[in-house]
Amino acid sequence: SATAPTQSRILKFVPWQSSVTADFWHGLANLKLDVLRLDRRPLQIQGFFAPCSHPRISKPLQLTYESLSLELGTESPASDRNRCPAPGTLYNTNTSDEFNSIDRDALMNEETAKVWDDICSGRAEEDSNLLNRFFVICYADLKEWRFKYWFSFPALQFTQAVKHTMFQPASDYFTAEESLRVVSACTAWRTSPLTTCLSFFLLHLSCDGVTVRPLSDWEKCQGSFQILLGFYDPSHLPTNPGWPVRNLLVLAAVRWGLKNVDILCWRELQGRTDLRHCFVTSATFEEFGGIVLPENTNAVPKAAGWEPSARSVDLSSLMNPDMLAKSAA
Amino acid sequence: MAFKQRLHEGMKSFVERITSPRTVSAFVEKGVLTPAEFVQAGDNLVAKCPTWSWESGDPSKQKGHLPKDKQFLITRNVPCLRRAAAFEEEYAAAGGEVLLDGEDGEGWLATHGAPGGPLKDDDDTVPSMDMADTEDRPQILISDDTYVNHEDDVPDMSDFDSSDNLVTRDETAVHAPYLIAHEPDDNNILRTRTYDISITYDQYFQVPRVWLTGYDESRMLLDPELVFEDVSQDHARQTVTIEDHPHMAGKHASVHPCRHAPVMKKIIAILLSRGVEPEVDKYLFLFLKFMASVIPTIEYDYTMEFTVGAS
Repeated sequence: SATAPTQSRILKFVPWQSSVTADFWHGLANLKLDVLRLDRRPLQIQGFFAPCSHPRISKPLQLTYESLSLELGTESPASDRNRCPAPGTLYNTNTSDEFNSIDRDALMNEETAKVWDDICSGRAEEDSNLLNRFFVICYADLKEWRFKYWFSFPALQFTQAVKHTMFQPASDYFTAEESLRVVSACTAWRTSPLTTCLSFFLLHLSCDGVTVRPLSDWEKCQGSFQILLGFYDPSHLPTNPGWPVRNLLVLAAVRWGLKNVDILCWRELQGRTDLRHCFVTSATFEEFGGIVLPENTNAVPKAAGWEPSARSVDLSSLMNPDMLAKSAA
Repeated sequence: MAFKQRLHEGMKSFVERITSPRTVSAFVEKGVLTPAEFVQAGDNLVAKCPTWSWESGDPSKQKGHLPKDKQFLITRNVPCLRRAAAFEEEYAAAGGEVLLDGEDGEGWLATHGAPGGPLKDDDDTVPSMDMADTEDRPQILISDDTYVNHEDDVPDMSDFDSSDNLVTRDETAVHAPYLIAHEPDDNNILRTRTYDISITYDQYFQVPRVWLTGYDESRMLLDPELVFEDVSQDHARQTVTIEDHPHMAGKHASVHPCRHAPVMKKIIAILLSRGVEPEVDKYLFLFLKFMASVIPTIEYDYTMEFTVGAS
């Protein structure tokens, strides 16, 4: 409702942080020793995250024991509001040299193409968690119990940076009456076991009220009063949204032909709905380069997403059975 | 010490194998829980504090006396902005602390405020259950320092520098990915650790047991030894030990449960003496409030607006 002229600035995004539990490495070690051995096939894994729930700290994407459930043949974890799944691929190598010589650009292109295809084909509207696709390269040294790894969270890039005109608490953006309805609609979405893990959604405001709907309802929402794009935002910063919104914006440009849209960055306070901690930004972006043909694989846009550097973790004191036996003697 | 600990663990697991879990409620008389009561109290914690979840953990480590999907409770990525030692200095300056059960020198501190919260001089030995007040806490500023976890044995990164798909090369990425806790008063800059806090059921002591898994400012696993920096110095190494987690791989820091039951019994007795009949499904709120004296700076969620007991 503000009519004062506002300046358009580049919208910057807070990169994902990765976090891996000892449990995950333990599971991977077992899988490698018992099943994979030297087999280098890519592994289907899941990362888990939740919307930011503390105003001073972002949520990471975490790998836990359950991340390997598809490969271990164990039960996938039940739908849980604190464990929204993101599909991932783990490229394991057998030597340190192999790890260091991986063609990371080629891998990035390959993984980016998957995201692009999910968007162009419409699959990402049916299963929006595909927008959070990530991958990891890894070398597990099981003699020393050292694990070397490098995460990437491919985010498609517009040729010109996305601009935005505001970043304000949702409690200021909505009227008091709207706020009540938004809170109630969002809480219903977050509380239902069917939708609690769907981290991208449409916030639909009409004369009949406010509803939260899956991305696949885009067509049905047309002609209504207002639609915002919403996502579970891992970022805690009061100035910037988190990484996941990037692929959502590309989807909106490619599939729905949008050039500007208001975005609800869904965050919580200790797991509870609180619009003072959610933010709304008004994003403006270019037409997506006129590229709309999914078949045209040459046209896969560029992406960013590698974490700043490889990491390594030494679990010898925690895990290695020999070491444990020695320290106990 | 390590040997003694292992011996005790071995004895404990032997006793657990040959004895069956408690079936009769002794919540009020002894401060202990049956597995069913643990599940009931856990369900209530998950319902009231939605950052907590049940997990099933490694299937090969599941305990038969607990439901498959409710083996233990966990809350992840809980911030710990300050080291406990610094917190305690301020606390002492603000009026000190009271031992709840001090006759043998192993008492528990019971009158801390909310973890990381404002320091107040409680005259009430029953912990208050109000929401932690976030207003008075130090402001956190974002510093320009970027924490880069330089990997020592990935030999030469110059090859990769030509890549334009690193987040650090992306003009639209925020280039201060890690939060720096900056306390303006004393210019004391601390980086932010996080914890995954889990609560298991200890069959031997028949009480819940808290485990701490730490991550450093770049979300790398923290050596359990460093967890002692975030534990009240009165309890470090005496009541907090490093042991195998019953449902997860590896060594984790844990608040040893040997004194839990007497303290819980005492807390319940105090409530009873005031005419409040405590309900078993509130057990974990009382328990976590009491844990806050051991880990005062880890800001996990146990707060809810409710009256203790049926009233």
